[in-house]
Amino acid sequence: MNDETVKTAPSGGRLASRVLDWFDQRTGVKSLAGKVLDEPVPGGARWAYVFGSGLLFILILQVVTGVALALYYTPTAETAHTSVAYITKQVAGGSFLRSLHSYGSSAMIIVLGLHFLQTFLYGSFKGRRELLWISGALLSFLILGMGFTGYLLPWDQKAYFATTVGTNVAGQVPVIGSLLTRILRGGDTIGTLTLSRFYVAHVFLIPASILMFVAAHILLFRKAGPAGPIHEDPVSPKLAPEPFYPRQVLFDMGFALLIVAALAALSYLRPVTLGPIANPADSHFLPRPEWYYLPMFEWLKFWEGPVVVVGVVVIPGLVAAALFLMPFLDRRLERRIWRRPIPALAVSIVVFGMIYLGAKSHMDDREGPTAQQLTQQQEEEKAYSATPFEPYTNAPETSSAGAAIAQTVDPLVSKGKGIFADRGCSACHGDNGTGTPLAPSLVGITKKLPQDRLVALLHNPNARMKAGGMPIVDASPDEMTALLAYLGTLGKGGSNSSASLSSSPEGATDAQASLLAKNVR
Amino acid sequence: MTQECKSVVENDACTACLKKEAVQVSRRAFFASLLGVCSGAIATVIGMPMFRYVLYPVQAATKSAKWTEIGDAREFEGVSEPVTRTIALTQRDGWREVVSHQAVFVSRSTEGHLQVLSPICPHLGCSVSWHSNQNKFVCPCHGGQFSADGSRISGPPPRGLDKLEAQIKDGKLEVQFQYFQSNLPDRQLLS
Repeated sequence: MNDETVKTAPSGGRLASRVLDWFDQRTGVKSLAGKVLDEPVPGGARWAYVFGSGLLFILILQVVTGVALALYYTPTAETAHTSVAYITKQVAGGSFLRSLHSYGSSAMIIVLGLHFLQTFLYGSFKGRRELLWISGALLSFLILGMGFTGYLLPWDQKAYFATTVGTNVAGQVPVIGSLLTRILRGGDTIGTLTLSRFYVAHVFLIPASILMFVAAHILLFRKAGPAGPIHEDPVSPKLAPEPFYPRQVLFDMGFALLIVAALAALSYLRPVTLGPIANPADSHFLPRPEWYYLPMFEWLKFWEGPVVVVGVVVIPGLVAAALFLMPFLDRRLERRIWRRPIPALAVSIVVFGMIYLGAKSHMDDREGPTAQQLTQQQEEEKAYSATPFEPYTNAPETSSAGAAIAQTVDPLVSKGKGIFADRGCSACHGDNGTGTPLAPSLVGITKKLPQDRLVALLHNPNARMKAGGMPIVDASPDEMTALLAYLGTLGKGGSNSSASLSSSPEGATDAQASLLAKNVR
Repeated sequence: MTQECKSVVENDACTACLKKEAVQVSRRAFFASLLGVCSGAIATVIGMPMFRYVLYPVQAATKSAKWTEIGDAREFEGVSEPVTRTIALTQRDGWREVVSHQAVFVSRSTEGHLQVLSPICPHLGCSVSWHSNQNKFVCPCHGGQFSADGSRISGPPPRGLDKLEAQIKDGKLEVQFQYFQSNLPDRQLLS
């Protein structure tokens, strides 16, 4: 039908359709769109089927907001917190986008739960859909991994302490536990290396895996086709199909709108807070994970002593294995949940158990001194979020100490340094002769060139140097000796460099260099 | 749309069939535009803040400069020839604050007013220095020369040394350190 319309279209047809045809002839985009949109849905479109595409939608939202956050975020223990504070308190729209990303992760877990329940209750994983189910189970764990790694990145109190606890859990695994914790942390304690690891996992490794498995999940889904309503035969559907477009697409769009509206309203009305910077010395802080980890958090409290391995490894391992192997355990083609009592019971125990544990953890935290401490922490977090943004400043200056050291430097060298400064050498070669975009570094120049050659070049620069703006250094032999003595000390540690550092911190050189670069252009 | 069909085609059966098709087409068009509107709404909700977020540093950069203290105003009462002072310049670089040190000259204008000069040569940006024996500023790079009040004497610089905004507040001499375009006959702020 599409082809016909192409042929019968008037020769001077609209530009848009001609451009589309041009692309179609080269890419086959129309037939691809047809394949995607005309997918048959046995028994017709339903609201029950919106959760999968809802997850895909949230994933895209998380990618978009995540990339935005990465624009200002820096993953070092020293600066992470300041950069998140900058995003939250200063950058226009920053608080909103960060809140969207944070609430988006919760939305992801909720919709993931709904997607799981829908496919499980409808028995939609049955009938040659084992790999489809397993890829979905894998994706669930990857999403939990995103939540775990993302929680540390703001580097505030709760991030730091929750990750301390979280990585300690891995330590409970027998034999390899402590090694596992050290691998996760990049050492014994949580520090800047941990942050780098979590950042790389959160931004590169896990997202790459997620995209890969989402592609596999969708491909496998299209291969098997939608399973349709609960009475439908999952292998060879009998109900009249309805194409995916337009009704199911509209349902999916409606759900996406609902998600965006909820997330945007929440982000706008109750933006996520940022606590004070992580302070490992604070021994009072009570760590609490994100709400979807609360059941696990509560569960771990039950297990003590030698049986801890049962609680931390054996039972969660069995539950995870059962989840992955669901299509092999519940393998009859019977889809109706009331005819599948054992899987229904098993899943109910796990689901209601998790709800119970989460609720219990929540209720426990509302009593006694724990509640007081948690409330106080919340107040502190709110208070910190309300304070104006404080920029990150360099390490405190050591000018007085530096000046004292400078006086002990060889007088010849300081004379040379004076000449270097007076003659404006530093304007192009940088304050410590370390080079700028305008002129090369002079560090080690006295070793690269023999002294007489260097003196000759200074008295009479070569063509290339002249082209770069190098003037003739018209100095007396005494001054030249002093200048060379100073050049010889460039780049060396010890008193001299620390003295020059204090008189002109890195920032000055940067600012000047960029200024000079601008001036020259 | 159906009206047009009727006027063009007389055959009743065909009219009916065209009608049906037109209804289908308008239904499809309706769905497509509905989807378009929804997508547009989502893109707006996310896109607008994103736009402001990405462009934030561009508009934030044009905020006015801050005053930096040079020293006690009394210190400069007896100044006859230019003196060099190093000021600690606090600059914002995104989420960090960088303290850099910058030299300035405090001198007297021809009318005898205190003025603060930038040491950056208006030629190509080298740092000029005061040579009291010659009673002038000399740029070490290309030999530009300036008198004690900053006006150009000779050499390649197209203008005199740049005067910086200065004020005396609570007995302190303060300056607004700014950078200017080089190699132009008139002083233009570099933003």
